[in-house]
Amino acid sequence: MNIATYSRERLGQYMATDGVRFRTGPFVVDLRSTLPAVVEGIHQMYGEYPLIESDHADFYLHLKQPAGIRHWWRPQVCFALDGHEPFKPLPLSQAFPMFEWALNWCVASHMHCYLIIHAAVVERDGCVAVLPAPPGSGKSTLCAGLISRGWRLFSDELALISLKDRRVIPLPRPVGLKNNSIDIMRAYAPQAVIGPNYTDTRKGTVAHMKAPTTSIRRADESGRAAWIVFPKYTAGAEARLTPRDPGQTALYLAQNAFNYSVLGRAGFETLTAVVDGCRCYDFEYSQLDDAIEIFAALELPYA
Amino acid sequence: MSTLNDPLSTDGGLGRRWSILPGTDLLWHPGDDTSLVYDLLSGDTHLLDNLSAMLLDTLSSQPLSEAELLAAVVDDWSLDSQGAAEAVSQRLHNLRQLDLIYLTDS
Repeated sequence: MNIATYSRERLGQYMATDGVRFRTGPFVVDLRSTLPAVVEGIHQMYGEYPLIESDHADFYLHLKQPAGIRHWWRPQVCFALDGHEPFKPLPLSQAFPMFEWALNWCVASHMHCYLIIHAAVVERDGCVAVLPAPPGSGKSTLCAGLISRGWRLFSDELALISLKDRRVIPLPRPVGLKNNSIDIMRAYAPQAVIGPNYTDTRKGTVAHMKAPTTSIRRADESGRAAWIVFPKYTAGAEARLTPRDPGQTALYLAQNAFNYSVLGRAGFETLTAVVDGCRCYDFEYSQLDDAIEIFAALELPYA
Repeated sequence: MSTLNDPLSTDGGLGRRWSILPGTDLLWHPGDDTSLVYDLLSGDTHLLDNLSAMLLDTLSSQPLSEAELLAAVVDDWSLDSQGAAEAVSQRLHNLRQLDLIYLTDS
């Protein structure tokens, strides 16, 4: 059974009472909320995710309106993990984006059996491309473009690398599109399910692109990191792939990992092993079609 | 850190020796032109050029004066003594700034 087994109304009833418990990648999420926007977002974006009947969930999340005046005046939404509220409330209109940000935070802050790097991750034929880059670099747009042309989505935010076998673990969830990239992807991938625009968030206007069905179904199939590509969108630029120093690459990843400092020796050894096994590039682009072509021709680092 | 000599001193001569910080435990990951070094004591990761890596590795075995380090570099790297002196001095300064080495009287 998956979430879409329930009607929108039935899902709302479960989420308001016991909560809905579903799997995303290696994690089980238990979510409670009476907020219509959260129920709608889950129904639209997570319909194909499997429901879980286990007694245990990795994260017990609750999105709700605060008590008091902010329930009515300029209404807000709060997020709680295991009953604790780690963040300040956001405007109620941002309830579903808050769920997405909060779940990212939960994973990045707690799941230390993985080295977790801030990066988009896509896969083809068992080979994984890790796309780390600062905000505004076009990382999510490139990720969305690639998965609309046959690459499998692992994540658009969190690269999970197993400390045990150094394989990359999928966590396929909606791709967070921002500002101009929303209309770009609506035009580039008209078949994709893209939810409503949420305006005036701390990241500007945000919309979510549903993960492809195949990516959700194959969420238990890990991959081997083969490429680390730092994308950079530059208006009018010709697509160009430039080899990048592995040492600099490893240092950047260490600085942009969520839990590298927590992991100590294991983090260093995992990071260096992954970088050793990859080809590392800087990638400048302006046209998604050019990017798709170049990614299709990426050479494997191993036979 | 109170037992260490003044870490801000630039005097690498006059018989004083450079040493790695007590308790330092380093993990190395050598590359072609650079080496990554993970300092288990501080949790810091550093990217060092080959000369810096060689100096740090040498000091991991025993404290040495700047003159002794310079002699090793001139022998191993076929550098002229003037260029080598400047390069070694600069790398030692950088390694000290990274809290990897310090000057000691011992």
